[in-house]
Amino acid sequence: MKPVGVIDLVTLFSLAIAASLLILGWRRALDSDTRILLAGMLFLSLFHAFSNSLEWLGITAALDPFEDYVQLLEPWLWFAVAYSFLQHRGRAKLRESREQLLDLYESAPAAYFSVGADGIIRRCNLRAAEFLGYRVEQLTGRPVTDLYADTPDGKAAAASLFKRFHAGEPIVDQELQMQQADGTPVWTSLTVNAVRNEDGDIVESRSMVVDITARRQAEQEKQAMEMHLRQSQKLESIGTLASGVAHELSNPLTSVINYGQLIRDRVGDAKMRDYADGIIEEGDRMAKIVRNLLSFAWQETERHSPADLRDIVDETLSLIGAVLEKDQIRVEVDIPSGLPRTRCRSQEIQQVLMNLLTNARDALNIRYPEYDEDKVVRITAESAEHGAWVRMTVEDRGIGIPTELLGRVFDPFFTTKRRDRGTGIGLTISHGIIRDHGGRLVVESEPGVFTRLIMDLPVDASPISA
Amino acid sequence: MIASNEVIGLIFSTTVLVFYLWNRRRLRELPAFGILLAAFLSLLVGLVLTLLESLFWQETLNLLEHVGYAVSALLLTLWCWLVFGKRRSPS
Repeated sequence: MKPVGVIDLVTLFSLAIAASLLILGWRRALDSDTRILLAGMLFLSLFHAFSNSLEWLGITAALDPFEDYVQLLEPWLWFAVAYSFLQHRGRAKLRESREQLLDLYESAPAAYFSVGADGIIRRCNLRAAEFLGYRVEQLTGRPVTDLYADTPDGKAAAASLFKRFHAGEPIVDQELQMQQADGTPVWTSLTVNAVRNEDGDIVESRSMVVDITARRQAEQEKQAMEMHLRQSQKLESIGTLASGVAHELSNPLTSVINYGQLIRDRVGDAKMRDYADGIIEEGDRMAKIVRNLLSFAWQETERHSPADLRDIVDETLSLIGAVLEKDQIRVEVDIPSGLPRTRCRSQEIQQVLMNLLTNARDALNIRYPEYDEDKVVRITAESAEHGAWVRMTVEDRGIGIPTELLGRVFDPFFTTKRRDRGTGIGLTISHGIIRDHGGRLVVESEPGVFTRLIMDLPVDASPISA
Repeated sequence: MIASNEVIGLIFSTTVLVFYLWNRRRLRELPAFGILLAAFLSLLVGLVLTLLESLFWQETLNLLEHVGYAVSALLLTLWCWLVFGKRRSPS
């Protein structure tokens, strides 16, 4: 055999091994299309080598007529293998890229909606469904307006916004109230892009919705704190002013009362004595106001000590209980026995409670001049905010406070009572006392239904002495 | 004498080579692409020598032509071993 024949046999066996490897490891690599083409390529090469070997072995090549075609086909199969591989890789990359985009779309931090011109939701991502408490298929095909809360900031605002959107106005970061499947309202920021056809008509809108409920709550809390701060600053400045005025009035008032007493003692005429009594009585009343004003403004020197709210309530009721009973007002007290103690000046807290009960009594007497089963004052106490505060609530079902006046109840000299019934500084003083204790006094009311004063005092953190 | 099918086969193969080289960056993702390309180049050398042997040094070039085919087959076998002979996860 000539060397060329040996070489051809090597080629033939080598290709046979290659074909065997392909068959044995068929599923180990490449896609099926590329493998089939590769098999075809190896088959043609084998055919070529087999044909060559027959020739060198001295056998008349019966395959010669086909060899020309094989020679033309062989390069194209090499091409086909590479082309098929590239196509497959391209498709795989496209699929991978699509999956990545889909993942990005579905698990984005914002909710996405595609809404048709008819207002029906066509698509939405998983986040949208999770955020609103639905399944994706429950949202698809639903009118988008169904998702907005039935409030002025919800459906009404959304309807007006969509009208403007269809008129060509952009919608960027508009804050609207949506509602979850269970009816819970949530604040959202809405940005909408329009998809238009060739004529410029909107055929679809793409919305991005971001949950801003937490942000809104934080803003509201900040506003409340700012209002509280302004109120405190106002009270502080008025306190300073009141203290100055009260101090100046104190001495002349003492003189007025003394002169009144002198007149009463020295004048024999009974009518004149009555007039002098009037001067003394009104003078005492003014002196009391002045003392209260000074008490409100001065820094108390009494030390804070641990106290049980139950004891404070009992002591206060021992003073005012008879008056309440006389007015046929029932007092309900609900203070749990294991309530933490608070660190306070007991006398001052008693003064606050006295003020609150007096106000409750007045409100109940106006609403129910006679006995009524709703003529009740409820005093409750509980641990609040994970045990950091002790919260005492005094609630009555009296006339309530008009909503527009709620913001003024702690203002000095503000009162809705008759002049002879109140000076308008009781709640101001109470507010100042609670503030000095590091606590807070809040009022809630619904006119004609109830008034609730909530007093929060910090819990005594010192160890209990034996 | 130069056969027309050999000329056409060479033109086809050259075109395929251009395709391989043009797309070599993307084809590098094909396992052991260098070996596959070398196998194809060997085949191409064989085709060129097929043409040349008709013109001069017939016996030598004929031998070299068959060596080219053999090298191509061996490289292709090596490539098949690397790609299908080892266990690996399908690409």
